[in-house]
Amino acid sequence: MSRLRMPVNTMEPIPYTVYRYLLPHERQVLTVRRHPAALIPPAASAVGGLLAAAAVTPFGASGTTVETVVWLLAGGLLAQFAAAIYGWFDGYVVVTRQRIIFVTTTILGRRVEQFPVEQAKELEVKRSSAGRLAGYASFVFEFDGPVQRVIEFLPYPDQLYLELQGLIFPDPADDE
Amino acid sequence: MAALNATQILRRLRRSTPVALILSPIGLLIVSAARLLIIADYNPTTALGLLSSQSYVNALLGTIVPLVPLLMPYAALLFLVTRRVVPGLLALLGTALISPTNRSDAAHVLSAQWHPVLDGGFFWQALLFVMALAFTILLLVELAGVSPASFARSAGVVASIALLPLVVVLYSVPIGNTAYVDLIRQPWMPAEEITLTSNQEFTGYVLSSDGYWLEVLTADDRTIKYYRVSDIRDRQICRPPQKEQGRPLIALTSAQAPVPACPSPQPPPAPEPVPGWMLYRIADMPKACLGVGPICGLARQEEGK
Repeated sequence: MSRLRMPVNTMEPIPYTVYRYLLPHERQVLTVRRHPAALIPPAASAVGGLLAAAAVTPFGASGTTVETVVWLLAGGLLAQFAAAIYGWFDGYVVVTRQRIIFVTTTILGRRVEQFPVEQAKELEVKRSSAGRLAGYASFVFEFDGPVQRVIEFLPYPDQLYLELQGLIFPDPADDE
Repeated sequence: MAALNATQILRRLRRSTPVALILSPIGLLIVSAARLLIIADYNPTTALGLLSSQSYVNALLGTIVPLVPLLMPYAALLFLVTRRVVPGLLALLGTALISPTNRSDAAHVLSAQWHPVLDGGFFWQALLFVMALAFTILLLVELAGVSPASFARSAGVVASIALLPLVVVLYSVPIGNTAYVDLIRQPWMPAEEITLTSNQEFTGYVLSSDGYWLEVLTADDRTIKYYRVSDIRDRQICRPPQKEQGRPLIALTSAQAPVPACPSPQPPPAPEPVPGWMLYRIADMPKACLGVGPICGLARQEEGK
């Protein structure tokens, strides 16, 4: 994230996290982070956990052990939220002409999944009411066999949809 | 869609591996074997005797079923914390229906939990109000913008934290609690007060009977003993002497059937002092001498010489 390097064949800046997984001849079509709305579920849990802990803490009859456990649970939810923020900063969805790469970063490590674009058979976009307002959607990729990949909270859904459809179903005239 | 369902099922199975392991035959066998040993006072021979006299299904279910009400409240919290909402809600419902609570004033306890919030100072209340407002907005956005499942998971994990003190008050933690220890030590058969024809009374658990012999696990020293059926004068089902078991929060029946309490185990009587002139106490005499009197003992003593 902190170091940006220029790829050989394009002038677009690519995050170092992504650049290290691209082949020399591979050209990125797009690289996006997830929409910040991806942080809503861990944020809701963290705020709710703190609220619940603060609300029940004065109930001292249970003893200090219970209060400790309650605050540990709330702290765990807060830590989970912090980890989600870290993962959001360092997680990307990268689309090249050859493949779709998902870079997922957690506190425990980084996971890189990739699917060849040719194998994507179907692409479904799901937009909730809040997603329409805030500008994000869930993309469902279906591949050969019982393989499905759902990516939630992708920003710019209309542009992304057209770009991805163009890669999955390329114009025959381009091959000629 | 078939592929989608298969993927989802696989993913869910992978997520619930710990639950599946506990509920697997291996997990159940380990839990039931542990409880069988506790019932047998950690004596493997007695445990094997218990097992051989009962069918395996009886032993398995009998050892597991009494643990369910005890662990159900904490299992519910665990499910909710780990974001398994449906099992968590089912466990909560089960808790309300079957888990005995040690407090009859649950509503009072629930209201007392929130008194400090309502009676707190302005700053405290304002802080809680702001947090509650933020939480509500986030939950609503999650419900509308993410998915109802995600909303339920967030609400569940927060509810588990809010419910934890209440659950601890209503259902004692099953660690180091004598009531739970008594309950776990109690076999799954009903306790019986057995009276022999010799007027000896004791409390035991009848393991089996073939019409001639009665196999009994004694309640006090947990040994397996065999009695002739003809030596049994009376059998009466009784309630082991332990703390009065509470009622669940939602009791479907109004009252429990009255069962008399089992007599507390009496310490063995101290041996009576033997007068100098008595050569044998009756209890020490050979059975052949019973009914004949001290003369027989005297005769035996003479034979020994």
